[in-house]
Amino acid sequence: MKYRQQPDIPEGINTSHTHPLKEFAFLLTMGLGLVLALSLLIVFSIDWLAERVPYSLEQSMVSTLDQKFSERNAVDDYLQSIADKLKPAMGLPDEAQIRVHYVDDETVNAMTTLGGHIFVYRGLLKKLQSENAIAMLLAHEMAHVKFRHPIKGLGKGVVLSAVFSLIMGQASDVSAQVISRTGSLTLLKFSRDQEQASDELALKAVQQIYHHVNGAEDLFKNLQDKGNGRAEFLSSHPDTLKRIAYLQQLAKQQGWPVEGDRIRVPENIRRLVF
Amino acid sequence: MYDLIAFVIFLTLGYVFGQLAEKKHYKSIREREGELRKIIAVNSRFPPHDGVQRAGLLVTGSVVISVDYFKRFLAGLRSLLGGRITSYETLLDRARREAILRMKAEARQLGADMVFNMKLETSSISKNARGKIGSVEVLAYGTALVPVKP
Repeated sequence: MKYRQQPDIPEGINTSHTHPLKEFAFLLTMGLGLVLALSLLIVFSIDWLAERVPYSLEQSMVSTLDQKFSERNAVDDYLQSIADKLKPAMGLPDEAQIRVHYVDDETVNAMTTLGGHIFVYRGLLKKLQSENAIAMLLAHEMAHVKFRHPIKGLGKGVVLSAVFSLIMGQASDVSAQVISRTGSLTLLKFSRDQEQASDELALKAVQQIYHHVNGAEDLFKNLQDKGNGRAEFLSSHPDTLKRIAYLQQLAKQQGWPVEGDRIRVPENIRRLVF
Repeated sequence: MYDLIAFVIFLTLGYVFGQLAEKKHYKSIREREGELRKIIAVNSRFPPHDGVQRAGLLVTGSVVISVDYFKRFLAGLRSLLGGRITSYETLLDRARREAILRMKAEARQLGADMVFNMKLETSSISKNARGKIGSVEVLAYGTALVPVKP
């Protein structure tokens, strides 16, 4: 057998001609589009389902909370009385139970979980100077209960993390991170919308009870101090200044008086909280 | 926020340096392929019957090439959608050609005029382990024929 020298072979037989940046743009749009569509599908179907879960089932899921927080003091009762006053104005159905718990901790926060359990931390409470501001806070949390946000959040969290861990198993680290990040950013947008809807309903309820909305903003003015400086699209809550502006606009639109007497927090509660 | 910025920076760095390195490598590959063209490398198992007496020697050339952040990201997205992983094609093309060039360089040092029964082997270094760098080794080996004077 005779062997010859290999001639010069042109480039590009074993490689593709697609420009890497073009490939990048295509893959990113397709990948993110897919994830976005999937997230939206999950979000809407979970929301649809969550609204059909009876309150009693939700309450039985967290029945241990009642025993755990069975000891109640004057602050618990004070907060509960405000919540009970607000309840009819919120349009909450009778079977929706509201239980307010006071947490003796410096954390500046309040939260709502399954079964209508609302936790208010001392750190936040001591910053609220009037009953009106506390009512705004409780009304906001009760609005979450009315809109079924806790159970929706739980459902979405579970399903989305299951789906994304499935996808992640297929893709390499970095792209999987980008994919799941897109999913969670989509969720955050919904979370911000939920906060706004709750603010709206809360202000309406406060106006109904006190016949003015003075003091309601105090809640957000205090949040503003602890602002985390994160870009809005990365946050679970809307920008505090935007929240205040939105509520002011809403009050103006509806013709709700912004002036009025604020009710002082009773002395015995002040002694316990401040 | 910060990891988003870090991600974009890594991606840009990966793209810029990856592309520069690839261009440079291809240029050097083409130059050396020209230089080493006179050493014939074939994968036939039969040595030439041209009457020249030759001694057979093992020659090897191996190269390890790592994938850059950008290429890795592209490949990751590809694995969701399916299709050709074009970002890895140039990587493996370069690795194969470099391995053959190194093998030929060894053959030239030994004074060989050809390599027959050449084979290529590819192995993944990290075996797709999570969090590990993706790199491949390509090994080219064959029997170099060195003409001997009677």
